Order: sequence, then C-alpha cells, then structure tokens
Amino acid sequence: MNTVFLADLVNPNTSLSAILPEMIVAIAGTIVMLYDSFAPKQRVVTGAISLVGLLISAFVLYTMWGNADIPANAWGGMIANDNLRLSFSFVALFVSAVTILISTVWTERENVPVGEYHSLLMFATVGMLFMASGNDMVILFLGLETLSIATYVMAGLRKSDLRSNESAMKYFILGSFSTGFLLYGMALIYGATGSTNITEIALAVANPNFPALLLIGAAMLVIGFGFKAATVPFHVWTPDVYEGAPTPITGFMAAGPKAAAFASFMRVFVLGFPLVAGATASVALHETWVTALTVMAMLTMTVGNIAAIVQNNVKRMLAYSSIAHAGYALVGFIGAGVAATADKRDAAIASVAFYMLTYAVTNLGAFAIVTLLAQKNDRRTEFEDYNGIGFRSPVLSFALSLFMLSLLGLPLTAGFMGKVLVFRPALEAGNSLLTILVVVAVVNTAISAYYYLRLVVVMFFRERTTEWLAPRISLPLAAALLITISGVFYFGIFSDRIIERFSQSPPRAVVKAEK
Amino acid sequence: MDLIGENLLTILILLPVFGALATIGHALFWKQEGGLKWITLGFTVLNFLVSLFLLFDKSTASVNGFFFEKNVSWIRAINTNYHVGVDGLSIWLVILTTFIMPIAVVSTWRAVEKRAAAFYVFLLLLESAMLGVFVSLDLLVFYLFFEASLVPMFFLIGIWGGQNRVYAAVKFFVYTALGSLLMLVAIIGLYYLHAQATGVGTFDYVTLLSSLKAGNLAFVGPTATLLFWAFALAFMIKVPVFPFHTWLPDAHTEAPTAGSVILAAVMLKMGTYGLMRFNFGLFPEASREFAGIFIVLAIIGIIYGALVAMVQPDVKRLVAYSSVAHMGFVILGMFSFTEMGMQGALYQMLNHGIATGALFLLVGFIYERRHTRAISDFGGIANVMPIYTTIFVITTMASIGLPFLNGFVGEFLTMLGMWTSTALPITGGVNWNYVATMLAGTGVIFAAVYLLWMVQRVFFGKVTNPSNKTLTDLNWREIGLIAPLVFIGIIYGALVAMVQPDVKRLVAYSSVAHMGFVILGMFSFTEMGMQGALYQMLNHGIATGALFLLVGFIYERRHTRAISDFGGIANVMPIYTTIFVITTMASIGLPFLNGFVGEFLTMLGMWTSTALPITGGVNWNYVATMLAGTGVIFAAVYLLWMVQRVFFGKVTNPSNKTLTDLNWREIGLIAPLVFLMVFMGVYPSPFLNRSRESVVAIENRLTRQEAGGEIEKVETSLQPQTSTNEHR
Repeated sequence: MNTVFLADLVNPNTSLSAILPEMIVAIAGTIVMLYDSFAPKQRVVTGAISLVGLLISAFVLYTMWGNADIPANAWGGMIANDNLRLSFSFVALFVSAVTILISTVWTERENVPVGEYHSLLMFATVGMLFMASGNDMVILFLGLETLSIATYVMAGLRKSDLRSNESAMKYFILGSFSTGFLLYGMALIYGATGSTNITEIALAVANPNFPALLLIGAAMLVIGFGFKAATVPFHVWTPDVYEGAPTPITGFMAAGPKAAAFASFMRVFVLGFPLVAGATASVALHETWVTALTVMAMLTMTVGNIAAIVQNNVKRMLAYSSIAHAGYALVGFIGAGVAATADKRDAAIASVAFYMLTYAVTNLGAFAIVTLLAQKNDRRTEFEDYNGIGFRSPVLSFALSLFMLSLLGLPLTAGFMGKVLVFRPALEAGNSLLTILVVVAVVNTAISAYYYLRLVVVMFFRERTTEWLAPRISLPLAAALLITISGVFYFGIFSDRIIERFSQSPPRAVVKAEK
Repeated sequence: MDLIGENLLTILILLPVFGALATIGHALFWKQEGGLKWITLGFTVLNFLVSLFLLFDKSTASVNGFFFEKNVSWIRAINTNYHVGVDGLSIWLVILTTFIMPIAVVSTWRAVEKRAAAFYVFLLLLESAMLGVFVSLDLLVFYLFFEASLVPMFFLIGIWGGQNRVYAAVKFFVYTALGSLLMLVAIIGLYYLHAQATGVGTFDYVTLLSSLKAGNLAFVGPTATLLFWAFALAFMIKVPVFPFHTWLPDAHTEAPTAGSVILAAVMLKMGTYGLMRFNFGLFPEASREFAGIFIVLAIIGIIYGALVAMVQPDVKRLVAYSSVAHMGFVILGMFSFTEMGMQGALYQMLNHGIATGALFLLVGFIYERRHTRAISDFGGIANVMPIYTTIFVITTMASIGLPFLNGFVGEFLTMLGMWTSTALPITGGVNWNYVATMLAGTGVIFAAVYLLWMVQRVFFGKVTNPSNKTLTDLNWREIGLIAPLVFIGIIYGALVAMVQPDVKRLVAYSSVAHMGFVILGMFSFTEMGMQGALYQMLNHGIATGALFLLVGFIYERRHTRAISDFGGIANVMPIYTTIFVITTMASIGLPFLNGFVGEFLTMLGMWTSTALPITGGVNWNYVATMLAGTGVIFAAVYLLWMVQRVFFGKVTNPSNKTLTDLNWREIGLIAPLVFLMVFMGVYPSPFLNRSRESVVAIENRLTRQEAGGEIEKVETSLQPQTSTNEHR
C-alpha cells in the first residue's frame, strides 16, 4: 500500500480539469482585484466579472457530473470527485452568486470598496470549493483558512461602524481559536493513522496505531468543524457576529461557509471514519462520533429555536434560526454516517447538500429583503420596524412570508423537501436513538413555527403607526428575489432532478448514461 | 372522456389556483375591487359544477376501488407520486367542499372591505388545499395538502379576524402544525418499513394497503402503536377531539364568517377523514386496541362540548363548542367499528358541515347588522326579523338532529352503530358499549337544551334592546345564500335513500333492526315501513299518552287549557316543564327518544316503496315521503312554539304565579312513560325483533299476492342499491 502511495507522490496526476471550477473562480477573483486597482469603484464591472466567473465555474461543474474522463482521485488523491464535492460546490457557487446580487443595494448605500469586496467574496468561494473537494486534511484546512480569512475581513467591511468591528473581531479571535483545535485534531489523526488522506484514513481506522489518539483527534475535529458550522455548544459567536456583520454578509455566512463546513465535516467523519465491522477501534470511533453528534444535533436544534423565540432583532432571530438549521442538517449527516450501503450513504450525503441548498435559497431570499429594508447602518432590523408593512409593500412582505414558511418547512416550499430528505436517512437506520433525534427535530420545527410566524404576524396582522416609505427595488435585487422565490417553489415542487443528480457520483452516472 | 376523467381531480385542485391568479391579475391591472368577488364566485361555482361530474362518470373505476385515479411520478428519488382518486369515503367531502365555497364567497359580499383581493386569493388557495387533502392517495402528497391548508386559513383569521385574531391565528397554526409534523415522521417511517419488507419504499397509500393485505407488510408491537398515535394525534388535533380542542373556539370565534364556515364545514372533516382513511386503513389492529380511549374522549367531547356551549355568552362561541360535541359523535361512530357507525360518522361529517356552516353564516349576518355576538344583546328578534328567525330555528333543529333534517340520520346511525359495537368490553355484566351510547345520548339532549335556550333568548320574548328594533330582515343575497343549505338540510333526510344507498342498505341489514332485505310492506309494502308503522303506533301511544297526562295535570290546577292563559310556567314548575319538554321532543321525534325510530323507519319504508306509481318520471313515493317530512318539521315548529309560549318568558298571568310543581303521585305516573320514551329511542331492537316475525309473515303474504312484476319494478327504480348489494 505504501508503494502505491509513494508512486502517487512521485507521479501525481496533475489533472487541471479536476480543479477547474476552483481555478476559474480564483482567476475571476484575481481579475477583479487587478481591475479594481486600475479602475477603482466600478461596481457593475467587478460584480459582472465575478458573476461570470461563478457562472462559468458552475457550468464546468455541471459538465463534471457524469464525466468519466476526470480522474476520480486526481492530484495524488488530494482532490475528490464524488457527489459530495460536486453538490456542495454547486451550493457554494449558488450562494456566492446570489450574494453578489443582494449586496448591490448595500454596497451602493454604504459606499463600500466594491473591488475588495468582490474579490474577497471570490476567494472565500475558492475556499468553500476546496473545502468541498479536498480529499486530504491539508487541503481541507487550506480551504477553510482561505474561506475564514476572507470572511473575517468581510464581516468588518463597514469600518466606521462599531458593531461591524466587534463582529469581525469576535469572529476572528474565536475563529482562530477553533482553527487551532482543528489543526491539532488533524495532527493527532495523522499520528494515529499515518496519513492525512481521507481515503487512507478510512482504511487505517480499522487498525490504528494509537486508538486513543484517534478518539481525541476526532473530538478536536468535532470542535473545529462544529465552530464553523455553528453547532451548539460551539455556537456562541454566531448571534453577535451575525448581528454586527453587514446584512448581505450575514446572509452569506449563514448559507455558504456553513455548507462548506458541513462538506468537510462530512467528508472527514462519514467517509474518513466509517464503520468497519469487527474492528474494535473503528467500531468505538464510529459509535462515539455518531452518539456525540446526535446529542450535539439535539442541543443545536433546541437551543437555536428556543433562543430564537425571545429575539427582538430580525437578524439575531435569523442567526439563531441558522443554528437550529445546522441541527436539522446534522440529522441527515448522522443518517449518512449510519447508512448501511454506499448507495444509501451517497443519498444521505446528497440530502444534506440539498438541505443546505434549500436553506441557502430561502435564507438568502430572507436576507435580501432584510437588507433592502434595513436602510443605512442597518437601522431597521427590529421586529417593530416591520409592523404593518404587509399591504404597504405587498411583494416584499409576501416574499418574506414565503421565506419564513420555507424556513419553517411548510409543504410546497424548498424547506419542506429539505426536511423530508434529511429525516429520511435517519429514520431508515431503524435505530431508536436516531428516531428520537427525528422526533426532537420535528418538535423543534413546531417550536420554530412560533418565531417564524411572528414576523408574518408583525407584517400583516398589525397596523403601522409610523410612516412608511416603500423602498425601491433595484434590478439586481429584483433578480435575486426572483431567483430565490422561484427557487423556493422549484426546489419544493420539482426537486426530482436535483436530488437525483446530487446523489450521483460520476462513475455511477456513466453507468446510468449507458442505459 | 377518459382524458377528462383522468384529470378531473387535478382540474378541481388547479381551478381555484387559476382563480387566485386571475384575482391577482385583476387586482394588479384594473385596480378596482368590484370585479374581484365575481371572479372568485365564478371560479368556485365552476369548480362546484365540475365536481358534480364525479357523481356521474364512473367509467374510470379501477381495481383499487378509487375513481378518477391519476398516478404520475413526482419525485423519483424518494418514490413519491402525485396519486389522486376518490372513493365513497371522499367523494361527498369533495363535493361538500366545492359546494360550501361559493356560499362562503357570497357571505363576504359586503363583510370584507379591506384588502379584498388578498382575501379572495387566500380563500381560493384554501379550496385547492382542502380538495387536495381529500383526494390524495400518496401519503406525502396528502401531508403536503394537509399542511398547505393551514397557511391561507392562518392569514384569513389573522388579517380579517376579530379582536383577538393574532392569538387565535397563531394558536391555530402552531397547534395543528405540531400534530401533523409527528405524522410526517410516521409517514417517512412507513416508507422505510415498506422498504424493509418488500425492498421498495413507498408513500403510496394503495400500495401500502395492498402490501398489508397480502401480508407482505405488518406493523407489530410498539412500532404499530407509535405509528398509529403519530397519525392519530395529528387528526385528533384537527378534529378536534377533547382535550385537543382548545384552538377551535378561539379560531372559530375570531375568524371572519367565511373562515368559520369553511373551518366548520370542511377543515374539521380533514381530521375525521384522515382517521377513517389512514388510521383505520393502515392500522386496524391498533385502532381496535385503542378504540376505548377514543370512545371515552368522544363522549367527554360530546358532553363537555354541550355543557360548555350552554354557558357561552357569545353565539359564535356557542356554535363553536357545539362543533366539539358534534365531532365527538363522528369519532364515536367511527370507533364503534360497525359499518353502521362508520356510515353514521361519515354522514354526520356532511351534516355538521352543512348545519354548522349555515349557523356560522347566520351568526355572520346578524353580526354584520349589530356588530355584536353576545346573546344578552339580543332578545325578541323574531318580531323584527321573522324570516331570519325561521331559518335560524330550522338550522338549529338540523343541528340538534331533528328527524328528517339532516342531523339525525348521522346521529342515529352513529348511536345504533355504537350500541351494536364490540369495541368496548363487557365487564361484570355491564356492556360498556351500551353505556357509551347512552352517555352520547345525553349529549343530544344537552345539545337540544343549549341550542333551544339560545334560540329562546335571542329570538323570542319582547325586544329588550332598543337598537334591535331597527334590524332589517334578510335581504335577497342572504336568503339566496342560506337557502341551499337549508334546502339541503330539509331534503337531506328524505334524500338519504337516493344519495347514499349504503345507509339504506345498512339500516335494512342492521343487526338492531334485523329487518332483512327491502321488501314490500303494509302501506308502503315494505317491511321497514311496516315495522316503522308498528313502532310508531307504540310510540304514539306512549308519547301522546304522556302528553295528555301532563296536560291533565295542569288542567287540574288551572282549569284551562288555552295556551294564551299560560306563559313563563317554567319559572314556577321546573320539573313539570322538564318532563313536558322531553315528552314533546319524543313526540317530535328527537333522536334517541322513541319517536324518531318509528318515523325514520316509516319514511324509509315509504321511500323505497312501490305502492305509488311512477308517472312522467316522478316517483310519487318519493314525493309522499318528502311531504311527510315537511309534516315532521311542522310538528316541531308547532310543538316547540307551544312549549315556548307556555313555559318560557315572564309569568304574564298573575294566577299562574301560585302554581305548584308536580307532586310525587304525578311524577310516579309520568316517570315510566318518560323512561320508555328514552328506552325505546335508545334500544328499539327488542320491540323491532318482536314485531319482525309477524311483519315478515304479513309481508310474505302480500308479496305472494302481488307477484314478481312489482319486485322487478323496485329493482329498476333503485338501481344504485342493487349494484351495491352485489358488492356485498
């Protein structure tokens, strides 16, 4: 086995096509940066370049589905090319593209240096893409750092606002701290298994050098990834950071980095720490992480929802709701961990990716409206500010209600399909602990109805006492709303194709294409 | 035709959606709200007409027993299909929905002023969702519609509701959503149990059912229990079964009139429909196991709902609580696990939809005029609004379950079913099924008490509140609105035989009556008719005998029998009044008192009779039955009017102030009669059994004389029935 590994090192398969989507986004980011230094403050141009880059990348990604020419394990096995990578990459590109559209309002209003902003966003996207595609802990770490550093800066982009500074500072310090845990965990795993490659690790967990190291390392990884995915008890940074960060960035952070964190998290745990029947160390590890994550999922959902009920600020409410949603996504994650066959595992991974997609489309839509209504310096973000706007701005209000109902998981919306899909693998296991987990998730959904509906109630069932000027909807924002609204319905009603595609790894897609 | 047949249900579901789009379009481009209601009304009426096709075309019948089936793949990854179809269980609920909607729309003609476009859009979307619930045969699709129906209702209550609307709307939503979410878990659970058992996961109800029947799939032990309760809880909250009913009075009271009507008429039925379709269909063992709990809860609901209704100061709240009681009957009938009980439950669902829907409409009418719903604000309204009063009283009678109005068939069958049920055990010589039936019976009496009391307080007596003097009676729009409901209420009972051949068949076959097949009899030349006639003789003897006795008692005291000499006697002679009222009820034929069994059977017999000829396409037997039915209503009117004038109100005649109530001798005299009235109403079978042999003997002779021709005529005139007999 070692010789094979060495051969890989000596003669790495440097297939550029395997990392083409990442390359394109990185190049687009560089062009934006360069363009900005020669012709600064060209909002439309830099935004357009970024969007085009994302679109081309998405197109390339699309061709990679079912394309057998791309080596399954390129770059010496450091780049994976499976459904996990492809589907999560798609989510990341989608989130970035919509974020660019949404933030036009904000960049204009706050006079933000857009060149920096767009290039940072592009590099953050590169980070997310590598977090999805990395099949080696080193690549995952690099991706995560690329993403994090870009996000730290973006959170503090509104330099004159103290809240924004606080947000960036908190995010940076706590984020670095958690990265330390992550890195330490990776080192310990390397010590236990002798490799940083996920595939190698998966083979080695059955018979590791030091089983204890493996367990401690895994625990460290849970802390590190848990922080990035904002799961309880590693969530405490979320509300402050989300509230303080500029609204479009908050929307981005809640959807994109969270999805990327889930991609890496799942790759390491589901694919890297599988259950090898009969091997004591593997069984112990698998059992431990499944149980730990189950408890974490329950806590995440419950704490997120209960805390969300008492919020009076819409952004904070959405922050806690995003914590709760991380909990729901964990249900599918755990389902993937306990899946009996590779097919079912892939389906479960796809369900989490789909869940993140539905969450992204809904959440971005909600943040688009919150951004629009917020006005300068995020002044209007309290629940009171939404009093009685229902029939004054019917389009915005009904759209926001739709997003709330989708977050709640009501049928015919994306949120419903997402929930059904992530609950499915967990129930399939027939494990009573997981069944309880699903019931907890469902009860939590009912709890969440209270605060999601509260926004609807405030908008429609109350009368406005202060005057109200309906904001003007700019073209990019209208596009973003159109994409998110139709996305909510499309994913809720016609999700058939996407789910199928998400659960196909390329090699199997070829087999399907033949018939 | 096939193309239409296959897509008919889809058209039904989608038409209101198109209506909603048209409404939005109209609101956007014309900016005037006058046309909105016409568009909405047009679409709902069109939908009703389309739904009538369901009754006529059965060419698409499938092996599963579902008509108008459509089954296309929706999301292949999780093997869920858009699968719709109707059968005998759902067809009437679909038509009830499409029937109620135009009425609900017209009821808002003037009531909704603000944001009319949104109102009609939500109303139309609600119709879509409700129709979807009743026709879905895929569990996931069912769940989808079940939940989707919450949203429009939430907005309807929240935006156009009363003072406390926000609280009511949120409570309504959160309560019902919690229940249905657990059902979602169970639905996904079913998918995997099926996958485990057969290798293919499915949400398809028909597939699941056939796997269960074939023995490929079985739910055992705690799994079955959990699945059962996950489904049951969702539906119990929706129905609502006591103690999950607390959202209902709030939602009903705060909702706009159209919302209350739809809520009562259709949305509550989604719960009972779900129990019947899914809990009974998928978990028959668990259903039997836990039937006791449901029966107890149903009876608590019946009695509790009635008692709480009695003390409500608000008319709308009163009607809302009466819904709790009525739905208790539906649950009771279902869990009796007798065909009759279930038919009764199904029937009761429809009745409740019509009668309670009409009541909410009527409350809405008066609210529009006076902007109050407190009973104490009214009084003596009959003097200023005679038409309104008449219709209200008839509707109330239907709601109470007066024979020949729609309510009583449902209640009758329900209780008959419960009586013969074996769902509850027999311990220590006590058959708890009998006990349950009797308790439910008291609920009927309570219902009569609180509804009539309300009627009395609102409509009769002097006009006490000066602002009521200027009330205008119903206008043509309102009359047109309520007329179909009342009309259906009246002829419903008479039409039983025609619209629901199963009910007739059941009564005929029923173990209580042991009446056997439909045969020719005494006047109607049907055995049923003869039995009924015999029984009616007995009843008449007892009830009328008792009435004469009672009149005698008062004559002894006052030496007058003129109604005008009395008034307000209830105040001085409470016991006398109580017994008098019960006897009157028996005489009117209130279910559960002896009179109604006889009347019911008689009219059923007449309906199926061939004694009268069919000329020019008119079956005169039907006409005769209907005429007889109006007689029952008149009886109710005059008897109750008499009761009202004699007993209620202030004591007008000073010489009545000194009247003494019944003494022990008189009580002892009348008690056995009252007992018999109740007993014969509750348990007619000893009487019917006894008379059966002789009746059959007479009937045999008659049939032999009149020979085959007549019998064949029966068969041709009752085509639907013979076909259902073959089913057996």
